Amino acid sequence: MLLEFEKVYPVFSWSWDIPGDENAVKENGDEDLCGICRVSYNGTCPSCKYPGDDCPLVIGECNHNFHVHCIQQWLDTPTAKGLCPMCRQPFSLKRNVAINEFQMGRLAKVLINSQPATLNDDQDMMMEPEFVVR
Amino acid sequence: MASLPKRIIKETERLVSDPVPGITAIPHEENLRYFQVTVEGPEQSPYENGVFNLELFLPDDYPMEAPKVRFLTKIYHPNIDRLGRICLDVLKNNWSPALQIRTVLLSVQALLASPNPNDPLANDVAEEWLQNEDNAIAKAREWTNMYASKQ
Amino acid sequence: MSKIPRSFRLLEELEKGEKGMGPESCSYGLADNDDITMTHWNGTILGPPHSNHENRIYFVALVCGEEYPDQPPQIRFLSKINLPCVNQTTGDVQASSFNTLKNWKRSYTMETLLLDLRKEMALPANKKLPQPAEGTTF
Repeated sequence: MLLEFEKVYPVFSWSWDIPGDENAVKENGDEDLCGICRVSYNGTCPSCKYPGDDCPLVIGECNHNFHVHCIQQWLDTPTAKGLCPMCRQPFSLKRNVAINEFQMGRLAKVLINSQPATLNDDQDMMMEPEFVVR
Repeated sequence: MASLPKRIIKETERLVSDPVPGITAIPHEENLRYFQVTVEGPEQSPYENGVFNLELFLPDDYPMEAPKVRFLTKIYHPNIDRLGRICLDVLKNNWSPALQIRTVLLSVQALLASPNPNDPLANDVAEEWLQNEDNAIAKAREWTNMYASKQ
Repeated sequence: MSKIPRSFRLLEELEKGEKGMGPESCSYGLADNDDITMTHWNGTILGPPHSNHENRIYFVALVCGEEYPDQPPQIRFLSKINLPCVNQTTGDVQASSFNTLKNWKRSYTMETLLLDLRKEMALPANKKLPQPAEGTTF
């Protein structure tokens, strides 16, 4: 039998590569939800239209993950006091995780502003992304 | 009116499909951020057998900002004032976007089970609570019968 | 923007009034601290300088009905005052002759109302109107 392909429609699927997300919010079946907006990690935060690189995910040192826009908006509020909404530990980005690399600059400033004043002794050191990543 | 964020829609749906025992929250038709709430007084508290009416509003910044909650039924409680305003940490400084309408209302119910006269909002009630707890509890029970009885 | 319900709006105004976060030239608060419906309010307006109202304090009563803030509150002077928009028998501020009431917006507050009445007192046409004796009431 001879088959002739007239057209081919390639379909791709993707999801964020999250190492060790056993603490993630699991509410609707198996899909992991952002603990702030309660939309899937692979979906978008409430202000974005397109998922993926336009609305990336970040992974916390505490293994709680959020859309970067969601966590940034939270950390910008005075109530946040720099803490993770889920476990109330000081929020910082997990190190050596590929998807965090691009977001360090974005979160560095917010995190510095929300740290307790005692940590602000050496502003220069604080500005290093490394410090924030720990 | 701006469209309702997905999170609020989801929370509302779940409040209906999977309600918290002893708590109801129904949005007003003309304002889906504004809920009519009832909370049953916890067992073995002076508020037992009472049903309390409350109102809850989700401000524009929710969930970055806590919901606003107020008692509409008169209640004798050291952390709830005469206008129904509630002194509860998760409604103010300890708010977190990981909390939801249902967890907030559970905290309100828990506050009824454990009044905290050391952090009062209604000073006269707190004083009575600290000086003569039996009297205060009797009064709370009396008010519950008077204003919050099930109909 | 979502629509803040009447009660939470009034609680915000109350808090602002209680904490004295507003301007010094006016003040307002609940007439009855037990009134869970927050309907009846008292207010004061400090007479504007360089007018016949200077150094006088005017007392007013406000009623925020069910439809507030979609509808303006009713406001009535308790202290006697001679102003074109104030009914000289009852002290009521007449919506027909006071723009803030006539063209009321949801974003307006009781503070807006008190401050605008103060501006009305200071208008060139009104500031030298002869005034009743200080301390008399309607």
